[in-house]
Amino acid sequence: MQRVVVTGVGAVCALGSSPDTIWKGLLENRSGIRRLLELARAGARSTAGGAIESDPAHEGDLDRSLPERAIAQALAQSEATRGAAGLCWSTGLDTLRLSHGATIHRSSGEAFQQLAQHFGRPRRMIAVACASGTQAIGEAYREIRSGRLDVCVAGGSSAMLSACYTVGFDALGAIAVDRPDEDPADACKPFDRARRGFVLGDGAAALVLESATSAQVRGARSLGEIVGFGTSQDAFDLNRPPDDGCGAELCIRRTLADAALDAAEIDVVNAHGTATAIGDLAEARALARVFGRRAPVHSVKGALGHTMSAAGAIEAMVALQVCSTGYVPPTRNLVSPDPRCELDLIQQSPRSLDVRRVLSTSFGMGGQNAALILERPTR
Amino acid sequence: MLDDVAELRASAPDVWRSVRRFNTPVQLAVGVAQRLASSTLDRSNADLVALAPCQAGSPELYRSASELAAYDDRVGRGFRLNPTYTLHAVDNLALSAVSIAFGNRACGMGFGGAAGQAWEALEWIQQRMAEASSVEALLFAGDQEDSKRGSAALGAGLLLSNQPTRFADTDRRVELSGLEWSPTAEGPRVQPHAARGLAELLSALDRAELGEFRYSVPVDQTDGRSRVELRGVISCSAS
Repeated sequence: MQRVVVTGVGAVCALGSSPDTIWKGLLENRSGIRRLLELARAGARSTAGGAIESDPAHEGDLDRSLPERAIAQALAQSEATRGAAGLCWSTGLDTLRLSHGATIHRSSGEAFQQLAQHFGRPRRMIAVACASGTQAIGEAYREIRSGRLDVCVAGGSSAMLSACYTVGFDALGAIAVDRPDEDPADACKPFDRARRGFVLGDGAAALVLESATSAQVRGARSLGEIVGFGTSQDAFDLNRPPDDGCGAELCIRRTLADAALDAAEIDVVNAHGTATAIGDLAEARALARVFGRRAPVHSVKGALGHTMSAAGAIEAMVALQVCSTGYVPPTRNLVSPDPRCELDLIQQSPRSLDVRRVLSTSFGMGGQNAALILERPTR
Repeated sequence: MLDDVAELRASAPDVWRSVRRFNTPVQLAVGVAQRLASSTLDRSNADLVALAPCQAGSPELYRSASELAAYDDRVGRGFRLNPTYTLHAVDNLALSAVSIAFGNRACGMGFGGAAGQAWEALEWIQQRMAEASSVEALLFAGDQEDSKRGSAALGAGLLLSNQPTRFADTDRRVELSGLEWSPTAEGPRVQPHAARGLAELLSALDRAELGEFRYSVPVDQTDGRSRVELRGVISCSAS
């Protein structure tokens, strides 16, 4: 089996337009969430979102431009080429945006097809809701580990921040509805006792995965290693996980088994942590059963919103930064932790730790779960 | 193959109740999986592999989106959306519904609604079986011609196993030995449809003679970058 290293990363989200700016924003506990005119005009009960500053002329092209930006950054760092790489990617759900009284509808499948056209094989579009970014990276990891592939670009993008999806997720009870006198940047509160849902964000993140052998031959620098991947299905309910988080726990244990690691060998958990009342509690119960309070836990969604199919890829990029620097960003807006979440939650300021491995989790609506274990580069 | 949800409604009323508010492609994908499940060794442990519709959504979803686009907050009513319509856009709905219906916590994989993903999914399944990660896999899809009008929809699926299994209700066995991909220069115009490619493959297998077979995927059912050819052997199940 081949060792799988990461030789390039790229990311764009509300907190920044590169991995470094996003990382700096997270360490400074800043927020990319603001009030959005489009949501207010549409009468949405939630008007907060993690929007990306972009040229208005390309506003309708986010489904294409976001992944392109992230992938271009990652390939530039890696110095790999598209033609020599496979692609495992999620472009999320179709774009449904409002513009001047009309609806812009763009197919996510067509966005993928355009994105994939200069890549080698495989060219796999992954579709497992909010777990898509993590699963895309995991599938690329398996391809390379098995020796079937040397290089693969993996990750996800999402351009779902629109009135259509905001109103829709509100109707499903998943969105943090506006509160008078509250800064929209404070709306998403993962693991807090006052949490009331997530805030949508747009974004994309790409990782270049490569066999250690290939990276060595090319002289590419390893930014970290992927050492485990696992999935599970809740088989429970379309709209919520089981209260005890048993599906999430199964996923985490499968990931540990894939990496041949014990729970004690995980130093930090990057949680899915969307700030929904039921989801956070289910995840916390799963994490508590596996790790107790031993592994510190953080979530980045309070700072940049829930970027759906991009979330797992952005969080994998953050996990690599955690591994290489030893700093763990705080969970923004976590002020008063839910006492039922019996975890060592990182609040308010970054924590400096000796981090070798991070577990990063993603739990999709409908019960598709995926997790990765990332390890700091060998020095 | 399935083009009517009546079978699911009649054969599995509990499953039908759980999906009756979903859009037709999802209902047909679930119907196909339900039909194939009776041939599985263990439906709760089979790999579940779903192809998301290339034409996602429903007339109800796009009508709501248009109403929302025309909505003016100064009227002050607050827009209301039936949450079910939002689900019509979700890419893993059939996968989740089948997982719940079968009590399956094993491997679930969703491929997105892009052209040619059926063949990526078949290759993925074949790789898992080759490395003994999977004993059997259900591959299922549903799609429609035009999601805004809700026109004709089709579901299709395959049960793949590494155990000797009869093909459909025949006395034949179909053994898939490989998929070959070769780049194409001409860039054919593709017609993205999650289920049609599988349906045409099933029809071709029905018509095929005993012995070795090669099936060239129609170019409009590829991703437009590669020609895809499936190779295999068809034999009598008694042999």
